[in-house]
Amino acid sequence: MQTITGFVAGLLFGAGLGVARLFEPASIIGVVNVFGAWDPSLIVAMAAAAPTFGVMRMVARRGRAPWLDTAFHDPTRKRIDRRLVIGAALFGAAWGGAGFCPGLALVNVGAGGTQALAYVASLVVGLCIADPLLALGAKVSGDSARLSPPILWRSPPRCDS
Amino acid sequence: MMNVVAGGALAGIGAGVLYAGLGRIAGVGGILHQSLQGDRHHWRYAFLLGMVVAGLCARRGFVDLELSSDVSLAGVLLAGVVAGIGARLANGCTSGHGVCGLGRLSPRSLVVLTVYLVVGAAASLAVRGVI
Repeated sequence: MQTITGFVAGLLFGAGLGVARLFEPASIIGVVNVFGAWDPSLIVAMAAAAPTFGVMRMVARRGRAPWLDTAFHDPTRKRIDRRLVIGAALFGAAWGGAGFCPGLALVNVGAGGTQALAYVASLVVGLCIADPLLALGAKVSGDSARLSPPILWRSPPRCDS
Repeated sequence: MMNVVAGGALAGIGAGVLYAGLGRIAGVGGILHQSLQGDRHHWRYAFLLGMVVAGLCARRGFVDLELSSDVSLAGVLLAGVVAGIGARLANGCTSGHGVCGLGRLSPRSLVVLTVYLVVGAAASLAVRGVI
């Protein structure tokens, strides 16, 4: 059931991007093209998506647990720190520069996009080297405590946590 | 624009289903990353597959699709690596922060989205100028 729910959720999320026609790089490039022919579609879509999710989440949290699991897994980090901003800047540069992001790319791949496939491949590389790079950087600068909480050097929490 | 609003709401429902059903945040970057760790929870792979399948269907809906960016392959590959690192540092990407984080009224996500727009605009300006 968990697997089916995951599939349906992904299908619906992807379908949303499809219906909104937000799986072409033009949609990202359009939203950052603030000095030219600005296309706010991505923001409009987020403005519709976020409250929809927010309401569903609020309703879901009336229960003690989700339907098919024992606990909700909300993110726990609360601090707005250097790491967050640098990460957002890096992602934002790639986002606005190339016009791809993970969600868009997956739907794009399904629609037959080859550039998106290349993006996903290198995204995988980036996702995998990030933590080791961080750990290396901290070791080199001897600054591990300041960069981020130590938990991030460990392997990601197991899913049954 | 109506299809954009409808599509957005649909995406929000998808994220809501993942949360109500499994208590998980629909952050594609995070889900992809955890999948790469050799996850025994198959819902992640299923979610990613669902998105690709949606793309298969979406293709039928439009005649004049432009699936490629105006950037070279090298640029796309670079963008992927940088985005992957950035997503890990910021603990999320556009779906995680833009839909779920915003929906949770997370201050962190608001900051992230603002940075995306500002830096993204600058990067686009640098890459292709004003269009």
